[in-house]
Order: sequence, then structure tokens, then C-alpha cells
Amino acid sequence: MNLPFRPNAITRRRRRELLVGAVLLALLGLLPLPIGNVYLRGLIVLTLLYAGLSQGWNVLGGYCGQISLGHALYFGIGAYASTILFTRFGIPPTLGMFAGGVLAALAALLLGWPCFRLSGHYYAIATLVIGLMAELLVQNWGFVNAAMGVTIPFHTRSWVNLEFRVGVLPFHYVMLAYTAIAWIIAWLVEGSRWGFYWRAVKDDGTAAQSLAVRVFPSKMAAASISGAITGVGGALYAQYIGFIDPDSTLGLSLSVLIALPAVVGGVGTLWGPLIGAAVLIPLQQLSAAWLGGAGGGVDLMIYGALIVALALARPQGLVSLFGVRSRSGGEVADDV
Amino acid sequence: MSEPILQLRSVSKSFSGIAANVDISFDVARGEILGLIGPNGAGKSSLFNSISGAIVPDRGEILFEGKRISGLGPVACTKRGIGRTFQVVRSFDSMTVLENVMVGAFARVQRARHAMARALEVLTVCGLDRRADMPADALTPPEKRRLEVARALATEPRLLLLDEMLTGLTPTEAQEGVQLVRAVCARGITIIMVEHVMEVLLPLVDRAVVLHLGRKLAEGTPAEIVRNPGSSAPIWATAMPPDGPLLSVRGLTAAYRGLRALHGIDLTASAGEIVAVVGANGAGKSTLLRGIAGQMQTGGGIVFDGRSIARMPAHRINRLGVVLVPEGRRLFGRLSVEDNLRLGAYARRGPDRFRPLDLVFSLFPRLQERLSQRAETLSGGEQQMLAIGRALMTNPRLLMLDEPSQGIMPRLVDDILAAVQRIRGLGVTILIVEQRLVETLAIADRAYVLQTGRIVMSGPAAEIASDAEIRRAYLGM
Repeated sequence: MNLPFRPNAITRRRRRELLVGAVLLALLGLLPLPIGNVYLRGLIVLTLLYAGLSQGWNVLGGYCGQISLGHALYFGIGAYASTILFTRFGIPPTLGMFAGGVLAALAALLLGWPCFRLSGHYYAIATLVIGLMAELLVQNWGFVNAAMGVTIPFHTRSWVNLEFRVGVLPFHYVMLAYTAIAWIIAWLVEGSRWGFYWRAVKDDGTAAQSLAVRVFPSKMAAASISGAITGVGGALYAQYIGFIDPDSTLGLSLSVLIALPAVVGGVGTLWGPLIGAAVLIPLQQLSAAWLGGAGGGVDLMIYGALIVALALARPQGLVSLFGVRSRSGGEVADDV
Repeated sequence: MSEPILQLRSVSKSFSGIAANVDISFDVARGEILGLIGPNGAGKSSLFNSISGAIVPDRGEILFEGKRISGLGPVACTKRGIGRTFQVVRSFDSMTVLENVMVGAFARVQRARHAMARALEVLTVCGLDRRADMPADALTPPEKRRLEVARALATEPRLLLLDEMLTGLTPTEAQEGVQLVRAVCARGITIIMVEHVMEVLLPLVDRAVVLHLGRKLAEGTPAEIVRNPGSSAPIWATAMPPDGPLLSVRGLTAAYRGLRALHGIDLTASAGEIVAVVGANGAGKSTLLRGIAGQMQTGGGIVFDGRSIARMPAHRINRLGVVLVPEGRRLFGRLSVEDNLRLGAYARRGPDRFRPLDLVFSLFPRLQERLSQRAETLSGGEQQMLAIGRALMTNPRLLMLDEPSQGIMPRLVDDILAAVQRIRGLGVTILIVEQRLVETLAIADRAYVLQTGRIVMSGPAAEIASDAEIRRAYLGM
């Protein structure tokens, strides 16, 4: 009697996720329309971008448990690749962003090759150091204008080049599409063999091997998908802002900002990055806008204190507010 | 016997110069259950790791179904059809039970839908189907062990390695584990199991291999293993001093209003032993048991299962599996037999808490006949059975009995001591204080003689019982 009933627990959950995702997509599509304030619209665009970036980080750091503190590297590769291809070679960013994604994925594989043999904190430290190194290198690389950065000249309104003159509304939909695709990728891999393997590797690599899980290739797969998503996000960011420099696209603070929404929202969960970004990015931007001018870094202190408070109140991530973890337990309790 | 499923040919392995396995050869027949026994450090784990591909033997070779597998690595070994569980449970705690097993199923299928169907089938075999959607970390320890078996089964092994699957379980849980092993075997899967609890293992296995200091000491049927020529003790008893005693008391002191009752008692009890404490009235026997149970203040050290319980509150000691059946039984007289038993079970949580009832009824059928009777109306012997039964409901690992024969007619004393032996047979360690020396020493493995708060003599129960000097001097016999 259990057989026809039980198998649907996961399937039902996944269907529900798709439904919630579709509703959310529709709502987010309508969200900017009543908002006239350009600043608020920009805030939403940034939030969407970080939701997608963090979704990408979550594939490697959340599902596979390989905590990366160097994701700005992939972001920067994506941003620089698409920008250079556009400004020097005239290749439109709609193509360039895929080049950026591929390059970022390759970088992630290259970095993973030696680093996935490290375990625990060492992987995080290695990514941190390599990220810092990359920033230094680009700061001194004349071909990409070194520390001065690259300004993307505005040609004409064009979807192909992702250049729009009026407001930020078009970018709202660009970023929404990006986040939605990142979410769908996460949703797909979560239910696939890879998703299971990653979580098994995260929880216990030895046990995973005894179940014929190849640990190293699993990590490499997660790293490449994660790097690609982040790289595309970097390319979109470059087009949105119109200017990139090493500090804003390769800095350590960006690496933290990419990881933080997933960590605060719920590591290794589908909704964690979205919820985390929705809470953190407005918080960070608003506290900077209201208090940043006061000097002394009061905004950062308040922002930091809020993150600590969130972590203390919800160690499982904000996503646990929605009962994501306790749901399965509740069902079992019902039939006991 | 057709071709053996597994052949070990002179397998040797050493770690930084220390030999873990030396020249080990044996065959495993298809469909059999083979026990791998030996004390800690005998090389069981490294042998398991060699067979499952986790380590590479230095010399010798391992053939699975006629093909060499040594050096292939764990993933390839699993793909070829060798599954394993781990001594220390390694469940994927961020995943649900079903998802845990699906990881195993993905070894054979690509699509999540197929993996799920397969995982559910295996969960049903392992009796975990109702737990499918629970997070794995919410399972009880015995359920987690089942989960490991389920996960390994999902990889469709033809050979399954079970590493101490029954260790640390209460008797009821161990019996369920045994049933699971039998069920797996009935599916045509060959099993090699490492186990310490010989009472459970030997009836279960077809053959056993005894390892000692990295070498193969003996191989044969359980009967051959137990009947070790040239030694009076069973071979596993000499080869296997279990890895440290389950209970170890060091320099225990206790006092009543300044009056010293215990003067530095040293005592140990190994897993599965019956240890008797004998001595005249007022020697401090009850004080000793109450001190171990945390029911009175003591000085000195008490270590149970590697954990110091010396200054732990009594209820926590009880939860660890140390249970005292007190002198005079202390039943809830106005409550029914059934309610007395149920009260014992409330120390545990979860829906399975009443499961030991079946065990209690099989030990003491009389109690089942008197379920609704008030406890105070039972005879002395029945009350004692009820007191032991109530203690068993907590699923103890160490059962301490204080004068179980007190106020009981002789015929029932034999019944109760027989029940004590059966309880030990389930893997429970017994510490018993008794006035009836002859009968008690007859069932005990070892004994301590206590006199005015000091241990004056200890040794094998048979020696203590036969020593005329001791009998006269200390036991007044």
C-alpha cells in the first residue's frame, strides 16, 4: 500500500516547486510596472542578478559542499570576456556572455583539477587566494586596461547588444530571465543523478564511493556548471553597468556577496539563494544609501550585525521559515 | 561447492610498518553467511577495506567471481557487485531516507524515476518504507544501520560486507538486525559480517573465520570454531578479549553519613558477560550497584562504553542503557502489570518504544497471562519477573540485578536465573548481586567477592565456587 503513495513524495514536491517558480516568475515580471522610482527598479535588478549568481554558487558550495570564496573570479572572467569581445572585436554580448560562461567553466575546471584534492577548509582557502591573485593580475594587465577598467561605449538601442537607453526596465527582464534560467538549472540538477551524487559527496565522500559515486568527476561537474552560471552573470552585469574594473568584478567582497545570499537563505536548497538575495541585497543597498555617507562604515556594521542576527535566528537558513526541512518529517509523523 | 564468489590468496597489508593482515587466504561460497571475528586490531577492518576496494593490499590477490579486483578502487568494486556498510554509520544526513537509497540505486540506473522505484523496493525489504521521506538524521541508530544496508542493497550487490551491523544494539534491535540479514541472504546475496556479539553471530553464520593479530587463526563452522581443540575455552573467547570492558569501575568509594561503605572498588564487565558480586550482608554489594546506576554519590571513576558516568544524573545513565533492578523490586503496586511494563518504556522515545514487550513475554509468559492484574497481587516470583521485564523495556545494555532471588520460592529462582542467562544470550551484559551463591556462580562467567566494602577476591566464577578456602572464609558456606 505504500508503493503507489510514497514514490510521489519527491515528485509531488518537485511539481510544487515548479508551480511556485512559475507563479513567482509571473509576479516578478509584473513587479516593476507599478514602481516608477528608478532607484527602486535598479535595486530589484541587482537583487535578481545576485539571486542568479548565488544560485550558481549554490550548485558547487551548497549541493556539492565545496565552499568557494573565489567566485568573483568566474564573474570577472565572464564580465571581461564579454566586454573585451564586444569593445575590441564587436561581438555582441548576447553571444559574448556564452563565451564568458564557457571560459568561466573552464577556469573552474582548471582550478578544480588541483584544488578538489584538498579537503575541508583548504578548498575555501585555495579559492580565496586564487581569487585575490586574479584580481592583482588584472590590475596590472594592460590589454584589459589594468586597474583603470573598461567603459563600454553606448552605440544604439539594441537587444542584441543588451543596450537600452530608457530606464532599467529591459534589464529587469534580462536579469529575471537569467535568474529564472539559473533556478531551472538548479531545479533540474537537484533532481538528477548529479544532484544526488553532489549531496552524497558533501555529506560523506567515503560512503559515496562505496555506492559507486565518483567523487572527483562529481565535483568537477558541479564546478563547471557553477562557474558557467556565474560567468554569464558577470557578462550581464558588465552590460548593465556599462563599466568594469578589477575591483568591482574580481574583488573579494564580490565573492562574499555571491556566496552570502545562499548561505543566509539556506545552503543547498533551491529557494535559499532567492530568499537570501531578496533579503540581503536590498538591506545592503539601502543601508549603504542611508548610512553610507555618514562615514565610519556604520552601514557595514549594521549590515554585518543583521547577518549575524539572521544566522543566529535561522541557522538552517531563512528558507526554513517556510518549513522546507520539516515538511518531510511532518508527513511521516502523520501516519505513525 | 561451485566456484567461490570470493577468493583471498595470501592477502597482506601493512600500515607504516605495522602488519594489519598477514598472508590471509580463504574462500567464500556463493550464498553463504561468513562471520569474520577477532578482537580489535585483528585486521578485520583492513581486510574489509581491501575487499571493498578502499585500500590496496601490499601482496596477494583478491578474486571476485573469478576476476581479480584488488587495486580497482571502491567505485569499481561496487560496480562489480560488492556492497558494504560501515562500522561507524555514514548516512547522508542532509538527505531523506529515500534519497540516501537513491544514491545507491544510481549505480545501476540513470533516471531518477527508476532509481526511486528501486530505492522504494529496497526500503520495503529493510522495513524502512514508512521512513522514506524522513530526513536521515532523524532516524534512530538501529534504523540508520538498516539504512546503510538498504543503500548498499540498492547497488545490487552479489556480495555484501556488513561491518559491525549488530554492535551497540539492544537485544530486540539485534534480533531485528538478524532477521534482516537472513532476509538479505534469502535473496541470494552472499554476506560477510564482522561482529563482536558472538551469541548473535554464531547462530547466524554458516562459517566463520577467526583473525588474530592480522593472521587467520581458524576457519570453520560455528561448532568447529567454538570447539577449539587444545583449549578449554571457546577459541573466540581467548582470541577476543572484547575491545575494552563495557563497564569499568576504578577506585569507587561511597559513604552513608560519613560511614564508608565502599573503599575503592575496581571492577570490570565486558560486553556479554555475566559478572557476579557476592559477599556477606553489609559488604556493600547494593551500594556498589546503586553507585553505578547514579542513585547515590560516589567517588572514583565509572566508565560505561567509553564514557564517564561517574557524576552523571541517574536518568541519563539509564538512557545510556544502564538499568538497575533494585532490591525489593520497587514495583508500582497499584498499577497493572501492563502499565508497569509500559512505564519502563517511556525512557525511550518513538513509536517503537513498546516493541520489547514481545521479548518480555517470551521470557516470562506468565506476565502475559496476568497483564491486567495489579502488580501488588502477584506472587514474589512473578513480581521479580515483572521488575526484570520493566527493566528490559528500557532496552538495556547493562542490566544490574540486586538480589533477584530474595523472597522467592526455590523453583522460581531457577526460572529467573535461566531467564538471566537467556537475556545475556541476547548480548546484554549482566551484573548480578546474589545471596544464592551456588546457583549464581553456576551461571556467572566471573565473580568478585566483596567484604566490608573491599574486593578480596576475583576470578572466573567456577574457580571462586570451587575454592574451599574462599567458601569458608568469605562466603560462609
